[in-house]
Amino acid sequence: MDKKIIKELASELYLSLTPEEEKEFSEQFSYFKAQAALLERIPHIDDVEATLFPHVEKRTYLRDDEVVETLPVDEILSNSKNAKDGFVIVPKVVK
Amino acid sequence: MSYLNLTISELHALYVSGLTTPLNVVNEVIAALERDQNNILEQTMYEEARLFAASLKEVEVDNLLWGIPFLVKDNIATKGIETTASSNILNGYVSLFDAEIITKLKNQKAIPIAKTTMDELGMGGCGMTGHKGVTLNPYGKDNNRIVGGSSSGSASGVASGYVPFALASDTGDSIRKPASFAGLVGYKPTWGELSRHGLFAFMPTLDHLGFLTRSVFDVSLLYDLTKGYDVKDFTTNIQKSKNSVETLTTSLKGRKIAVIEPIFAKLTNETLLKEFNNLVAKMEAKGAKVSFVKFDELLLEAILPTYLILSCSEATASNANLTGVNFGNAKDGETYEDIVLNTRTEGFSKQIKYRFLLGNYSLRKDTRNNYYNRAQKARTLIVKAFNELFNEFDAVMLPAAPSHAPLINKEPEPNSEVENNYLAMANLGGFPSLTIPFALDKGLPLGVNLTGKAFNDALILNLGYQIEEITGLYNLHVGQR
Amino acid sequence: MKYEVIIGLEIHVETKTKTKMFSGASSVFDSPANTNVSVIDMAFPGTMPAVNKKAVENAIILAHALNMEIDHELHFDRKNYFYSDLPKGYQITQDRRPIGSNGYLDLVLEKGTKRVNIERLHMEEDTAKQIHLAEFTLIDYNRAGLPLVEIVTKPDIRTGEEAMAFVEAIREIVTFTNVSDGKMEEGSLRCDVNISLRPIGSDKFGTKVEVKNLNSISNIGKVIDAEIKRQSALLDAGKKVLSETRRYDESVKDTVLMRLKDDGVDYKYFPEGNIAPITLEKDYVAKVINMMPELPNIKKKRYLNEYKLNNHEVNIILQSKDLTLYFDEATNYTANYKTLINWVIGEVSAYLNKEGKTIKDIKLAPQNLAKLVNLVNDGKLSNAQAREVFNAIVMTNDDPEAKAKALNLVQVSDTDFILKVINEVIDENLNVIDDIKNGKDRAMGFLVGQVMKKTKGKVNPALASSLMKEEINKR
Repeated sequence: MDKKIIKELASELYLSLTPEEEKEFSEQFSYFKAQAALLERIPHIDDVEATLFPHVEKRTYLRDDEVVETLPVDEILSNSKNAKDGFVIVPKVVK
Repeated sequence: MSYLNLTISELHALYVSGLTTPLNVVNEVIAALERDQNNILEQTMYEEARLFAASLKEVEVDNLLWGIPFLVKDNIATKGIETTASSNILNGYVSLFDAEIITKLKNQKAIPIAKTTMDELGMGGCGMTGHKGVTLNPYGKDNNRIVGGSSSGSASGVASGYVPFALASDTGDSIRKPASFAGLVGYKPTWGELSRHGLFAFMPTLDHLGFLTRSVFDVSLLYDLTKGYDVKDFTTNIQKSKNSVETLTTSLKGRKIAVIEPIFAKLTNETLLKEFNNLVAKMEAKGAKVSFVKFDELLLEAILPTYLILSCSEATASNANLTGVNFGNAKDGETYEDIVLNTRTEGFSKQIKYRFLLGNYSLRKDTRNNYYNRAQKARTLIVKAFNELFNEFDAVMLPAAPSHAPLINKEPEPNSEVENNYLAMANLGGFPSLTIPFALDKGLPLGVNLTGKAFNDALILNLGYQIEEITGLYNLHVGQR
Repeated sequence: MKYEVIIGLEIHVETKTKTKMFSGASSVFDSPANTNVSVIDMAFPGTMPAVNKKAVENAIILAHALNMEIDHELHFDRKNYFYSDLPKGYQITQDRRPIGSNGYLDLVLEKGTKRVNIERLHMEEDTAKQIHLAEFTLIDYNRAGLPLVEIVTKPDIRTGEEAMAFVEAIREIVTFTNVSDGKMEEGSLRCDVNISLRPIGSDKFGTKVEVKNLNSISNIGKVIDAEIKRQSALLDAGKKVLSETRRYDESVKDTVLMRLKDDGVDYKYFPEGNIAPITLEKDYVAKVINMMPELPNIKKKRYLNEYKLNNHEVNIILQSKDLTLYFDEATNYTANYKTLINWVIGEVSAYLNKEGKTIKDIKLAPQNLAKLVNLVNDGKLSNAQAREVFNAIVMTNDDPEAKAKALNLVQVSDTDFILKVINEVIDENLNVIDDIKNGKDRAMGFLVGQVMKKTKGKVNPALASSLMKEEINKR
């Protein structure tokens, strides 16, 4: 696969690959592409409706709008290395 | 007396007769786990387990799960316990809540002992890609066989006899393939039967929770006690399914089983072929009718690419929360973008990155018609074809894997995609799917898989139980090394 | 103007619920940072969305109020992108099956009615709040997951006036139906403007510019004016309008560039696999719609047609939902709608302004205000007397009639007494009588005023006036 596209694919997901990894990925992509091509062999495949869920039942349940207590600030932030004084803090984000 | 290598019912009987206590059992299990050489453990829960066990004083005679120790695959949330899905990006992440299934099992007084290794983030089928390295199969002379994946640690631990059961997950075959390589009963119920609340998502409409045990009865019991509608999971089934334990003993008479001929024809392991045909004969002797049926081969070939495309695509979103910003093993950076880039680049192994890139490619505007969209359509045809088969037959039966557990460094078999990966059809269709051991190949287990129509869990478990009776391969384990 | 202005609006409404769109965390406004955050809002692994019933009902009501087709099945999708305010790395929204589609709103403008067609209305969740300091950004996840409804119009709007009228109409609807506070300054109502120009007569759309982060309705008008000016200048000079995202800068009173728009960001939408489709039964939807408070345009029709009020007074009262509801309640106890509305938008509003109160702060029940109005219309109290009574009862809710008696303010309609005073006044002003007889009618007012003075305003002026006429004619 074109190196430029590999870099795009990676940067869109906030990943970076080494040159060796890019090469290895290219090989994996060839395999993947060949597998995907098997789908094209199915007659009229693109006319078929998509399946989104393995099975569908009629469901009507919606959650009642009642407050459920949440964890205190220090607990909910306890897994963040970037938390301080009740906030998650990052270097200034530019839009 | 040792309390290892027992099934749930056997251990329960010991409790009821007062011959041992949960604390005794837990201590023995912990000692055995500490001696394990197969790299099966992530974070242990020994202190919590001992405390919980110590608090269980009066035996609940009618509660078969009372005091039963179990292992938990590390992609299932356990409150207060580090849960990493065997990925460095989650090193140090402590879940603030229990998965629903953990809550249910704890309510039944079952005792979680430790988290187990897996293929990183559930993406893998060999048990080799977790951040702790390769997890070994206790079967095999020289400690040199894989146990499969992604539920590698859970499978290895149950096969070693440490605990009667382990919790695991299955998105393409991650319970049912390792079950085959490790001589275990591995069950993936109908999609929506078990709440996925607390299961780290990989691909939501393919993800299933399930169990690894050493007897069909155990897996049936566990299914009955943990299935059910959960308001926290908006995909759990509305229709209440019947319990499976009560119908395990229904005879095979009149059952119609389909063996997919084009898959079977690709198999070459002679022991496997011989034993499978033996099994078929014995089933027919009991009144079942086993037919070798045709199946659209283009669709069989489509199973793997459909699974790959859909799962890689949605895995990108399922793991887009892993940035290090508000949780996770964050790395430093001068900017927000750098923090995220460094965290993700260092935290994910290269195999995971490749899968994400493949998924990203499959979803991109310019290419998604030929990838993601087309895979959704192929899913329709594959599911439809199997449902047509299920209209005629009670179950599809096939060897769960083309052979016994491979050696670690063995090259993958050429042209082995279809028979290696067909199990994913049960995820595409949300079908109940059970693997049980049916033979030994020079001491290495071989598994057979039964898959049926959605909501026919009780039927599949019944068939499995009957086959277990035929083979006599009950409570297979390697025992202490 | 050689250009036609094409405007489409994207409005986000934060709907009123106790909890978030997909989690049970509290949605209370302005809580201390990160005190209303559930594990779901933090996007911890293994968490799953749970759809909020009230949020769905709010969306149903809004879709109905905007004359939209309501989809009776709920489907959600993932909109994928990375940003520091988006914990999951995707937003759960409705891409394929918005709950509302193909609606419209008829605007009443000076030049007539204008219909703005509405393309879609869908539910989605809000992002975390970011506080940008000099070198750091603080992230507060309280807002992450709040329920939003997004309304997208067709590009039917042509002027700033129409745009402002549309947003005002939305604000009216969301406040009157109780679906939202609708406060742009608090962020519960947000508006993005998409604007392009094309030569008059052309049917090809020009390049669209998006202007975001407008925090008041008047700014919408200013932004549109600024953009028309800026884009016209570019086109006039033969330059191209670039596809940009801009924002309004108060200090320079103009739009400024935020970023160039990508040729459509690829959000890689795909279905939300953790929410299986949910059926909205027909009678459930009907029940929700039935419980919807009366829409402002329905009220307006009622006020104009039944109560025979005029546009001016109706528009004034509808600006305040609370005042309108107070008025509605009072109409249960009086049919003197004209007097009532003038009291509400006049005396009552003036009192509230002076005291810095809202209608919710006063104790006077609508029923008693209605009673007061009836006393005036029945001639039992003069306007001046009624005002005195009002001031006495506004914070006590005493019965107006009882209070009037207590204050000795009951208007005198005793004819004999009035005639006595009238004749007194006439006798004291015989020269004025001559003026009146010679056609100077204005002097009547003077004489009646004298009567009012002598009786300390207690006499019914209309009665005094007619009796005065009669007495003068007798002389």
